Amino acid sequence: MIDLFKGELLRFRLWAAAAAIINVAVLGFLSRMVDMAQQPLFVYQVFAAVYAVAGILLGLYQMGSYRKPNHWLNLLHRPLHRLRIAGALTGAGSLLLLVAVALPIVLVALYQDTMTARVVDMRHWLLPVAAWLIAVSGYLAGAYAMVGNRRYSFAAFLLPNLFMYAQASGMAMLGVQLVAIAFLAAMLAIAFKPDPAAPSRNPAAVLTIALPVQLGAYFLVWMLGYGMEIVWTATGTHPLNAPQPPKGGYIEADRAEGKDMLLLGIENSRDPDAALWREQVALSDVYTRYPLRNLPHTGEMTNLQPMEFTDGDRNITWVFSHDRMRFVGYGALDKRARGELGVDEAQAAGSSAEFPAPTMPFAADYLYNAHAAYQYDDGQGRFYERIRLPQGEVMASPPEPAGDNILVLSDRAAYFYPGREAANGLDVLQPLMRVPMSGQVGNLSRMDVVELLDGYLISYTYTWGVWSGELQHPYQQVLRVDGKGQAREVARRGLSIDLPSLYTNRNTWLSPVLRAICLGAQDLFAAKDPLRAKPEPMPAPVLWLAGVCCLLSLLGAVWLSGKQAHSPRGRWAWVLLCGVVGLPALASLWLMVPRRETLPIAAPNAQPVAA
Amino acid sequence: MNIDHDYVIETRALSKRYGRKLALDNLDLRIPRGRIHAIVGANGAGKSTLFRILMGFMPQTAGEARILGKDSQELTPADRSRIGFVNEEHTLPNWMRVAQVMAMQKHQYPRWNQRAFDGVIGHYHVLPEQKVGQLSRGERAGFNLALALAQGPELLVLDEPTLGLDVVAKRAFLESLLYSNAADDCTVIYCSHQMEEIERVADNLIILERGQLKNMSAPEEFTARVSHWVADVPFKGPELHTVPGLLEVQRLDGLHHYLVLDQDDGFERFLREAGARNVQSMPVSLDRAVNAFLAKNHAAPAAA
Repeated sequence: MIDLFKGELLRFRLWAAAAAIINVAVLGFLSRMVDMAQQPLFVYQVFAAVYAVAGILLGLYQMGSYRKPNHWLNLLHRPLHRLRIAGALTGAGSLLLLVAVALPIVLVALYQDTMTARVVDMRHWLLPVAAWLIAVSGYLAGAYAMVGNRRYSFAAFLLPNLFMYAQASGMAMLGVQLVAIAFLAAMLAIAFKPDPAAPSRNPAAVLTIALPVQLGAYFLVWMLGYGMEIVWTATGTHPLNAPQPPKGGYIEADRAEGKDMLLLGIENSRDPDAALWREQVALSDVYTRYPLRNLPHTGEMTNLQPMEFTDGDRNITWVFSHDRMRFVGYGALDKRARGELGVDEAQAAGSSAEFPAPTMPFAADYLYNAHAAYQYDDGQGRFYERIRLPQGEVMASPPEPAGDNILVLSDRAAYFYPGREAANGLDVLQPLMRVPMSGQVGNLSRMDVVELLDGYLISYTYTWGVWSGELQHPYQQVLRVDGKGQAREVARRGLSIDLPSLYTNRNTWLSPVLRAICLGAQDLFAAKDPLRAKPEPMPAPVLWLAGVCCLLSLLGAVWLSGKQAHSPRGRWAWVLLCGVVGLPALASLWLMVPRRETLPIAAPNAQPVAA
Repeated sequence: MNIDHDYVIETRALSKRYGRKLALDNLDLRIPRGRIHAIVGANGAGKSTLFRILMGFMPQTAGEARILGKDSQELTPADRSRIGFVNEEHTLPNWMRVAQVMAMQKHQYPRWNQRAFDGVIGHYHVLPEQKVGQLSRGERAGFNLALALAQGPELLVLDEPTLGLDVVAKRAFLESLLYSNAADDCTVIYCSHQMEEIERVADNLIILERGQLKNMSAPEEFTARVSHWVADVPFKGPELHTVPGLLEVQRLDGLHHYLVLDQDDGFERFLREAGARNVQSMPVSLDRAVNAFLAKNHAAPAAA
C-alpha cells in the first residue's frame, strides 16, 4: 500500500509543487496589497471554488487514468484489499492537495502573523484546514464521478455544494466538511471494486449511494422547474417581466417605493385618520429598512464584510480580533502595531473591555454586534456603547436615522431612540418606544416608516421566503404608533404569491423527505439563528400532491423493479423507499439498478469439453 | 458444481449478454493445470469477456466460472497473488523507474522470485534507473512479463501480449517466456491472434467462436482435422452447400481449392463424383486451418 501511495506522490509531485508555488505567489501578492484575513465573504468563496475545482480535476484525472479497463484490472488485480488500494490513491491525492492548497495559506498566515501587525486569530488558522477539506471533498467527488457508474456518479458533485448553504461556522463548519468528506469517501469505497458499475448488494451501501443520487434527481427536477419561468417569460406572462406587477402581490411589495408601500398598506383602511395619513405619507420622507440576514459569529472563518475601519485623524486602522474580542490597531501608514481597544471606560486589556460579540462597522457612524451598537469617538479615540438591546434579542438592523430619531430593528421589535441625544452625547441611549413585530424577522422583507406629527406609521411586510416555499402566507401589517409608543394595527392585507403555489412549493411535493433532509443538512452543527424563520406548514393541496407523487413512485417502483435484478427483500425495500421518498427515489431506482439480464433461449445441458 | 482443483479454469453454462448480443453463450470450459494453453478466436468471440469474468471484473449473466478452484466473483487478495495477468497494453506506471516498480511488486507479492525476474529481464536492455515511460514497447512487454513471472503465479494469463510488437520484440518475448523456469511452474493461458506464436508455444489449442467453445485439442490434432484439397473440376464444381465440412473454397488458375474439416478419403470420392478429373490432398498450416475455421461463420451482409 505504501508503495502505491509513494508512487502516486511521485506521479503528481511536480504538479502539486507548481500548484503550491502559484497559490503562494497569488496569496503572497494579494497579502502584500490587502489584509487577506479581512476580506469579504465573496473573496473566500472564490478561493474555495478554485480549490474545489482543483480537487475535482485531480480526482477526475487520477481516477480517469486508472478507469480504462486494462488499467483498472492492472490496478486492482494485486494481493491488496481494494480499500487499501483506494486508500493509497486517495491518501496521496489528499496529501498533494495539502501541499498545494493548505501549505501556501499557512505560509501566508505565518507571514501576516509574524511579520505584520495585522490580526491573525485562531479562526484564520482554521482557513487552511477548511480550504484543504474543501479541496479534498472536490477531489473525492471527482474521483467517485470517474470511478462510479457514469449513469449517476455525477450526483457526488452535489455534496460539496452543501458548503455554500450550510449555516454552521468556525469549527462547526469543519465538522460539516468532515461529514461531507466521510460520505464521499464511503461512496468511493463502495464503488472502488473490480466492477464499479455493478450495484452493491449491501443495503447500507445502496442507501449511501442512493441518497445523493436521489438528491441529484430532486435538484435536477427542481432546476428544470425554472424552465416554466422561461416559458412564462417567452409568452410574456411572467409576473416578474410584466410592465406592471400583479396588484396586491409579492412582486409589487418587493418593488414598491416606501411611500407607495405605506399607501398600499392603508389603501383599504377604514380608520378615520387614514385619509390624513395618506396626505402625510405623500408629503413626508419615508424610511425603509431591510433586515440583516446574518450576523457575525464568534470564531467564524470568514467575514460578512471586513471587520475593520480607519481612524483618519490618528491614521490607525482598527481590526476586530475574535481571539481578544477587542479591536487591534496598526498604523495606516507605517503599519506598526498601535495596541488594543476595548469598549468600556477602562480601555485596558482586561476582560471588562471585551466586546460581547464580534463587532463590525456599519455605515459611517456606528459599529454593531448581535447585542449592541457602538460609536467610535474620533476625538478621544474610544468606543462608546450607545444602544443595548434587551436580553434575548439580537440585532436585525443597525441604527440609522429615521426622521428626528434613530431606528433600530431587533429580531422581535423596532426601537426608536432619541436622535438629539444620539448626536450630542456618548451615553447608552434609552428607547423612546418599542414596536413589536407580529411575524418572524426571518420573513420580514422590509419595514417602512413615516414620521407623523405625534408618532409613526409603520409598515411591516412579510414576504421573505415566499418563492422558496418557506412562507405560505405573506402579508403586510400597518401600525399606528402614537407619541407615547402605543401601537395599534390600522391595516393588514394578505399578499398573493404571484406564481402558482404548486410551482413555488415544488421542492416539497417532489419529495417532502428530501426537503426535510436538505433543510437538516443546511442546519447541521449550526447554532440556532434568530434571524432565520422556521418554514411554515405546507398548504393541503401541496401535501396531497406530494402524497399522489409518492403513490405514483411506489407503483412505478413495483413495475420497474419487476424488470430489474433484485432479491425479493431488496425489491420490496426499494418499493418502500420509493413510496416514502417519492419520484426522485424512482429516478434513482431506474438509474442505479440495471435491467435483469436474461438469456434468449434455455441453455442446452451440454457436457464440458475437456482436454 | 463439483470443484476439481485439477482445473485452473472451469466454467459451466457460462453466458454473458450485452443488450441483444451474447458475448458468451453457454460456455463449458475446463482447462487443466499445467502446460501452455492458447485461446484463439476472432474479434468478438468472447475472449476478453471471458477473462474479465474470470478475473472477477465483470459479473456473468448466467452460469458459473471458477479460477484456481475459486468462484471468480469472490477472489481474495491472496487468490489474486496466485494469478498473473499481462495485457496487450502493458499498463505500467510510466512515471516510475524500473527499479521502483520492481520494488513495489516485490513488497506486494509474498512469493516474489527475483531469479525469475532477472532471468526474463536479462533478455532486454532495460536499466533499473530507466523510467517505464521511456521503455520501448518491446521492453515494456518484457518488463511486464518479468514482473508477472516473478510473482510466482500458479496461473499466468497473457492476453495478446505481443500485439503491436515488431518481429524481433516478439521473438524476444517468446524466448523469455519459453526459457523461463518460472513459466514451467505455472499454467499459462496465452491469448493471441499470432498463429506462429501459438504453434511454437501452445500445448493445447482452445478455439472460441461467438462465445462458444469450438475446439480444445493439441494444435497438431486440430491441424490434422483440416485438409486442403485441390481438384480440377470442369465448370463451376459442386454446389457449395453440398460440400461436406467446407471451411473455405477458392478457384485459382482453373483449379478448385477446398479447405474442409473432419474429412477423410471419402471427400476425394465426393469430388470425383462431382466431376473432378484430378484430385490432390495436402496438409495445411495451423495458421491457415484456424483462419479458415474462424472465417467460416464470419458475418456477411444478408444479400451477399
